[in-house]
Amino acid sequence: MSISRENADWLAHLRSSGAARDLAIQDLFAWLQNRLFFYLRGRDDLRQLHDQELQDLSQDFAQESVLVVLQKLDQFQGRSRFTTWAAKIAVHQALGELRRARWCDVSLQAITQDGRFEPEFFRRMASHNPEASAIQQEAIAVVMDVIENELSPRQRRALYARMVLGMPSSMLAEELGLTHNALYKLIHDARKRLKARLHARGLDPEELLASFR
Amino acid sequence: MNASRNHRPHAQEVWQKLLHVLTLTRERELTCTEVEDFIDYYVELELAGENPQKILPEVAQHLRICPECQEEHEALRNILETDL
Repeated sequence: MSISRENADWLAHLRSSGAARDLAIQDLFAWLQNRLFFYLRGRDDLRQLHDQELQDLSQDFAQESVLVVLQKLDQFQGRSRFTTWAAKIAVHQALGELRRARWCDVSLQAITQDGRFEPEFFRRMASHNPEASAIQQEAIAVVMDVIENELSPRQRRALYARMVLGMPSSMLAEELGLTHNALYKLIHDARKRLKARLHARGLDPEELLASFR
Repeated sequence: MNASRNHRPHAQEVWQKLLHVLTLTRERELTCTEVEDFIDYYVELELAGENPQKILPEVAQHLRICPECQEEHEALRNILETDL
């Protein structure tokens, strides 16, 4: 197995036909599969899998990744080594699959009930925490006011799914019928609004965070 | 594989997470797709002993805020460090 090709050789071989291409594909597949196997074996959430199952899983991920690499060859810009770029694609594929498997039977509508950010979520915390200072109480009131009155229903659901449930953005984007970038913008706008409202009341998130530790 | 999603954090944990994210929120941020374009270069800089936080500060900022990109960054680093 020869993995020590220069970037230009990888591109030339993978774009060629015949034996050189076959060998390059074989080398890339083996390199990715080995590394994915050891990575998967080190993950806590896959501890219950035997080595053979991990071999099968890493083989599937590596096969899918090689196909994606071949489709995206024109997008390689040469900022990194070719194998690093291919490994990035493999990691994205593998972790995407693992997240989908973990969340496949979960509907956002079901887990957020009526799809609203639980309105009393933070207030409950404040009322259960007699140590919460007046400033903390004020910050909670500002945040809840923005969440309830200024964010769109979609922003509330997205913020709840991300911050409270820890739902992966790829799954959430699918649930909300958005592209990944549109979802990022939706939540980014919500974060900016929350931060601006806190600042407008003279409340600094950094100082608030320190006060809660 | 599906145990972690059943964990419902305490409100205080979420509040701290929200405040942490707000401290890192900037007017202009890179999206996950934009970060993905640079993450291979970012990890190579790290492994070469360079300072990617200084060279690519917007990528570093996104990694502190986005759990999925953070996970992919760690996985890529792990994979490239594997000595076979």
